[in-house]
Amino acid sequence: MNGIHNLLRRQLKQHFGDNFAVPGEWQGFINAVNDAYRESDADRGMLERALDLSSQELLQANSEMRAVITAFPDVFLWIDYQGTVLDYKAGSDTNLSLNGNLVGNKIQDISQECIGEKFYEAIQQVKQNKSAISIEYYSMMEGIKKFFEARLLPLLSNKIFVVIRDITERKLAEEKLQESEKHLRTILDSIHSGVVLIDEESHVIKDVNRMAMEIIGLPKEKIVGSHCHSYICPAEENKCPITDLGQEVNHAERTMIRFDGKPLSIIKTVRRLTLSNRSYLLESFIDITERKHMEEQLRYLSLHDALTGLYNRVYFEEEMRRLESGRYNPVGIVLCDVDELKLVNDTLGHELGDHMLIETANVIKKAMRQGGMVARIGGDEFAILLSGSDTADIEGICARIRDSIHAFNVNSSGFTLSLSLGYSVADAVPNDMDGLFKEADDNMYREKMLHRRSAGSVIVRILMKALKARNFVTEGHAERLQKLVESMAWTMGLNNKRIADLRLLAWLHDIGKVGIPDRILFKPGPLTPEETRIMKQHCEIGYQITQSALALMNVGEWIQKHHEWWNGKGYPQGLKGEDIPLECRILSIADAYDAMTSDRPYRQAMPHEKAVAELKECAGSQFDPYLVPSFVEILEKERI
Amino acid sequence: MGCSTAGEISGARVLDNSLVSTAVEFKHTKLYGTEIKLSKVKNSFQAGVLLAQSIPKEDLSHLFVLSDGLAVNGSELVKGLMRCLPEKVTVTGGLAGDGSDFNETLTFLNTPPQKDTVAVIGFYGDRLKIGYGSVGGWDPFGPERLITRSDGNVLYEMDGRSALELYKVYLGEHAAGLPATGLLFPLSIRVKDHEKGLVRTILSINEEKQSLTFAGDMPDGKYARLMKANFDRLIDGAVEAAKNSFKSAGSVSPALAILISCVGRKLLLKQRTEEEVEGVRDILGADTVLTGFYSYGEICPFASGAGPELHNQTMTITTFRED
Repeated sequence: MNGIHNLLRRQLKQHFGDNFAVPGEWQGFINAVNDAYRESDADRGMLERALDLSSQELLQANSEMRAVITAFPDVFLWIDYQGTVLDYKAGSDTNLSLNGNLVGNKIQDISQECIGEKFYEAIQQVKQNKSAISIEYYSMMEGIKKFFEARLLPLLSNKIFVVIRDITERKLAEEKLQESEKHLRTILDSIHSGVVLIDEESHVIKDVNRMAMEIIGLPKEKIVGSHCHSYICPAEENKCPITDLGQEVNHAERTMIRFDGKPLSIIKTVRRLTLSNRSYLLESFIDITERKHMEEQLRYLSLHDALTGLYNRVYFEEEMRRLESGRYNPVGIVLCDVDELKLVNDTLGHELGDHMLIETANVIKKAMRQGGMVARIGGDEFAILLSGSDTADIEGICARIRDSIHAFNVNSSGFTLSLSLGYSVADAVPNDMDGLFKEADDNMYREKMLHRRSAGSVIVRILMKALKARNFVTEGHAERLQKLVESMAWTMGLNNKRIADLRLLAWLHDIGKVGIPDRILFKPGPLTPEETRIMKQHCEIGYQITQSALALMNVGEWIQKHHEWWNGKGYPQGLKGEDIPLECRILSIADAYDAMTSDRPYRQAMPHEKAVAELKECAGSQFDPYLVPSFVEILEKERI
Repeated sequence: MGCSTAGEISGARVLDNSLVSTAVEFKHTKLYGTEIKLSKVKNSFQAGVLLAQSIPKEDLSHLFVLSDGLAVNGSELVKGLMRCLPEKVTVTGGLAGDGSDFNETLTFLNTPPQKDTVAVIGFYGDRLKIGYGSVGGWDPFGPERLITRSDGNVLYEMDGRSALELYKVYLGEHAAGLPATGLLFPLSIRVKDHEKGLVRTILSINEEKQSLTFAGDMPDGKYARLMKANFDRLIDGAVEAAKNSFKSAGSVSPALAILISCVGRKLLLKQRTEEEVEGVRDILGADTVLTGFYSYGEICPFASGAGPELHNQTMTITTFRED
């Protein structure tokens, strides 16, 4: 029975004995059974082999997985949906942040309470969503804060694979980085330059500091994400100096645009910067709009007179040099000097003096034709430079100026103007501009001298107009005084010159009051001793005023002494008797009489008789006792 | 001395529901036998200790053990025996069987068969040449599973899942035949990395506790793999065991060979069971008297010179010859 399957042979032997021979008619059947046994063995052998191989593969895969897991320093846990730890791999860092035995316990029970809750929630999410989830937590270990990251991944077998990694170093690095970023941000936000970070490729703004937001006028979220050409370099779209033109922008003056479209002048520096393998442009800039404006103003001021808006001496000198070449011949200079400006400044204040200068400038400008240049070259001095103008042109201008002055004085209620003019014309190559200037100056001075000598009227006109403007000269007082003193002088046989001077004194004796503050001058009640002391200064002030005008020199002394008393108890010098100039003694009586017989805001006029009685009463004390009777006599005559 | 079985071996025949007796006469060798009731001691380990303590040690060369097959923890019994025996003494034997029923196993030594009994015979003198060999022929398959809950030889969970459920899934419709059908898938326990695993078979199940009781320890935290076998590998295993026993006794045919083979093998081999006995006979020679039984566990050193261990699913052979 060779070739027969062991089992079949055994079965035949068992049933038919050791010496059984298969009968011929059974042979086919026996062969079929035998084949079936062998085929069954072969099939099972193949299946078993496949099972062996797949088991080996499985074991191999498992062993590789375990090797991989072992190679990592992390902690690995296999847990079920209830959180029970089925297995774990402790990792090189055995510090799990978990307490007690692991296997068989629930992860939420073996970790600190707050961590356990996090794990429980994460397990529920993994169970529900069948997707991985990460949680981070920290734990205090021997007084040191340790950070962990746990990743929970669902497995096919209703299990969860948990990887716990110690991320303390990363966290600390992150914290350090955040802190350093915070420091950097603080520094960036505290500097007074705008700083903008721009992506080099897209030209999109990625970050800005506080100053950049202030300069652009928008919050960060509105700037970040914009194209840099919207704000930072509007004139350079598609022509970026850095990326398109390959230039260096280093402390360069540029223009940028505010949120409202207003252009701003800036000084800009651009640097390239690489962050995380990406190129950026770091632009820092300072807003110099204000500075530019100031510079322009300064440039203007450096060449212009701040008060009148005309050119100043510096520009005038430059123009003088320019005209030296002779290219613009003939060249003329006109110099105009404001008469008695110092007097006005001293007596009526600089405000009025400034006003006079402004009006003078206007008058001159009005008289100018196109092409001339007017400058204020000194306190009271104006100069006109004219190119391509001959003597006739210059004289025409001078005439127009004089006409304008006259017209102004006619129409002005406040003050009058008086100018001294001088001019010169040159037609040489090159021109001696300094010589030309001196010639014009000499001519002007000559006219000034003429004005000085006859200036009394001018000055007095100026001063009186000003006094009236201040409204402390009672209407008619000066005229009445002039009449009274003239009558006295006439009676006493004084000559015409003295009579004229006396009239002037009558007119100007209180000119010094322009220097007394209004609060004292117009005080309704009695003055305090201090106020009285200040009030008495008007004699001295009057004297000082007259000293600036040649024509008023004589009158000045009398103005100073017009409050002296016969008995020496007056002021300011306490002169006595005939030491007091005659003109002063006359004025004193006349002034007192007119004052007593005129209405004042605080009292009514005194009757003539009572005033005369008062004069007589004070004769010998306040007034000259020899003059009072004559004055009374004249009054009586004039009354008849 | 004898026990109940799950099949009897006589010559090259395998029998069921029979009584096989073998009479042995030694010319020089002295024998000393004793037994112990498991129910009267604390545990299997203590039974082993007490048995070893109770027999004379002088000239003792070999100890043959027949133990109750259900109430015993074979591993602990062997550990207990070895605790008190001289190192050179070899130990072989097996656990009594109860067909494929796993209800009651009986053992006897000069008494009527009783349950809960462990009987031993000591062999004395240097004329006796003992050979032994124990090979399974089973192969582990599938993944390694972590024993996550166990208590001694009672296994509850692997990888956090019920071990009983796992067996039911693998057995399919054969699950109804538990615990006997569980023998088709013994477990290989890997005690140490890279070491050949011990084979463990199921003795009983507990549906209520969802547990499986094995013939030996199922330590927590160790890895276990299911095992399978095919006819050829099993028969080859028996042949291998015979070769090992032949070699260990000086490559001379023995007078007697006691074959203790696991019931699990018989359940798998079925009609081909005799082939493994025939394989043994082919190695040991036609003159050697073969006797033995199908057991619930085998006791034998794993290799020559090693200490005895409890095995499952093996063909374990002890050969006797007097010079």
